[in-house]
Amino acid sequence: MLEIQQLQVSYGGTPIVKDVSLCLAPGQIAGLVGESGCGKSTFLRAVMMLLDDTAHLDGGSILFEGQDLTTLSQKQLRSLRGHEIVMVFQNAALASDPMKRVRHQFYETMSCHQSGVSKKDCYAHAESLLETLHFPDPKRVMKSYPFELSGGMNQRVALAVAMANHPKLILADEPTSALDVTVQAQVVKRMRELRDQFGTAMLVVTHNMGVVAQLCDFVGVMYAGRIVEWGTVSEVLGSPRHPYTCALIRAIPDMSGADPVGIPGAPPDFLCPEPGCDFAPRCSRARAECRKEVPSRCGFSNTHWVLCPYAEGM
Amino acid sequence: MLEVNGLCKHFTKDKISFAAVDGVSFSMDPGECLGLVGESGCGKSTTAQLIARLLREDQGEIWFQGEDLRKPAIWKRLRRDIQMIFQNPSDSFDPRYTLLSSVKQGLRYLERCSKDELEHRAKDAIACVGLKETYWKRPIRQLSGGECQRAAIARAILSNPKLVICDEATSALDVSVQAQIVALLQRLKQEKHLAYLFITHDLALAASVCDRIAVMYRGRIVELGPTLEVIREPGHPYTQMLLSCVLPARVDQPFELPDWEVQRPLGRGCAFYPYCSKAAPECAEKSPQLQTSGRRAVACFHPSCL
Repeated sequence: MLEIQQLQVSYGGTPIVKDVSLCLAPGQIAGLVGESGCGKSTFLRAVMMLLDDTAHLDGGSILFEGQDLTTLSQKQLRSLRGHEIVMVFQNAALASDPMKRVRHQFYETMSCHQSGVSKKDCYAHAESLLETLHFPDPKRVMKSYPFELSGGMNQRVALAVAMANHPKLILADEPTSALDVTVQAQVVKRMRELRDQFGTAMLVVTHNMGVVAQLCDFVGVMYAGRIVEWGTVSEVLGSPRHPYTCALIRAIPDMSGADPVGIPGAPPDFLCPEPGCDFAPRCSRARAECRKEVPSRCGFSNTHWVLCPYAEGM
Repeated sequence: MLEVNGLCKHFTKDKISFAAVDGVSFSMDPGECLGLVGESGCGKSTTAQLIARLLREDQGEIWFQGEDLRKPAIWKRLRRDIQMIFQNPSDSFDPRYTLLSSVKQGLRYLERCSKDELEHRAKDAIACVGLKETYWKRPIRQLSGGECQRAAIARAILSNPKLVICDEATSALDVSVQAQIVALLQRLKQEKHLAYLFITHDLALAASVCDRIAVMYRGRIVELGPTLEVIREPGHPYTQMLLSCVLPARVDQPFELPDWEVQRPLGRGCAFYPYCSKAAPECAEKSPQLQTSGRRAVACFHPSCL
């Protein structure tokens, strides 16, 4: 349904997203993990064609149900956004209009794409959506302003608004990062339920491996603008192959009380790029060849590949 | 070393007063790392600010090394012994200052020492946190988040404190950088015999850093004990719920979320009553006090341990 091929985005001539390709089928949830500045949010905005003026799409294609989004006009894109493809942002309270009640956010989203929808139908539909998301009192929520709701409620309202037109694809940028663990777990659970109920595909950007493990089917690990490892969640988290993925997983504290292990060095400077693999300067397995050219894909299974010829188990 | 007794702090919003910190008591030994964990709004940062004397308490007492911290006369002296590291490292510096001069500022107001000595000690502290000489003259705005947090740690250890309060000190950092900073904090703890009051919402991080943890809920400590014991065998129903909500970053651990919904607080009795699976009639009437048994303490009428 969504097929992205060799997408490249740059800011002022500096490449930020490099050769990113991925496929997503209906009902699949894919996660993109990586550290801040690795280009995951820029990539997500590029998929929605929401890049700002300073960013430039250098190449690649974004095929959504056979249409290449990069060739569409703004008007055509507008009819897709909010209707077939929807974005959910990290801070839902900031992303919604503070002057409008929740019910208006629903009406606005629906009336833009369905001409002649009545307020009554719209509100009834919205209430049923809020019920699916387990709001105890949808009527009260509909009358509330965003600032009257808690962070977790706002995030679930944003999900409900996103679902209003039954989109085929939801793009979520750190949907649970601003939330407490208790609320985060709840939002993850509701996202899973929405997928099961409506068959919506989701592309979720996060830095939380717990969210990936519990929500996603596939996961891509991004480093310095490239996806360095891609596979099903059990493949990547169960037997990580790329040196960066292995190091990233070791750096996450777990409940056992063991000390997390940091990755020595710092992420590469986008402004002075060096040839070869971006992770080579921090990599314990790096050889001289790694610093010459960017490695090509090495596959482990139909779904699991890495950008490293010297990966674990090669 | 630190003794906190019945600490209370009320804030007023729209003429309604609510208790951000409601009778918190705990003590800390030298060289110990005590974690304060809980969700946002549970009062963990307010507790830290009360101890660092950035806020004034409404009730309760704080004793530090046998001295009453509430007396303003000793604050200047004690500020040397109690230092704080904040969540957002770049916000706690003036972006126009260079690294060396910002670190120096930390001591200038606390101790009387010569310019050379000040410079020397600042350089030592910067080396101690793993920043190279080339960073001395760099403006703070050119440092990355992790480097900035190292600078904040250098500033904090400059006055040779006994207690460092880390208020979400690694929450704004990526995991790989977080692990570096955690390793640094643990090395300094060993070398300088520092005690940390480590405030975090990340339970897994608390598990690897803290010797003991205190779980806070609505301004009260509901459970206190050695970290791994509390995590393996939580005594308070709230601790159990909090732990059950941590999404395991592994695929071999199935995850089932308990169903619950935000409820209105009762206004009396146990604050966790509306969510609690073990709630009994008495829980709605009286609020349970922290009951100590051995090294653990739980504020619940029906604890799972003790």
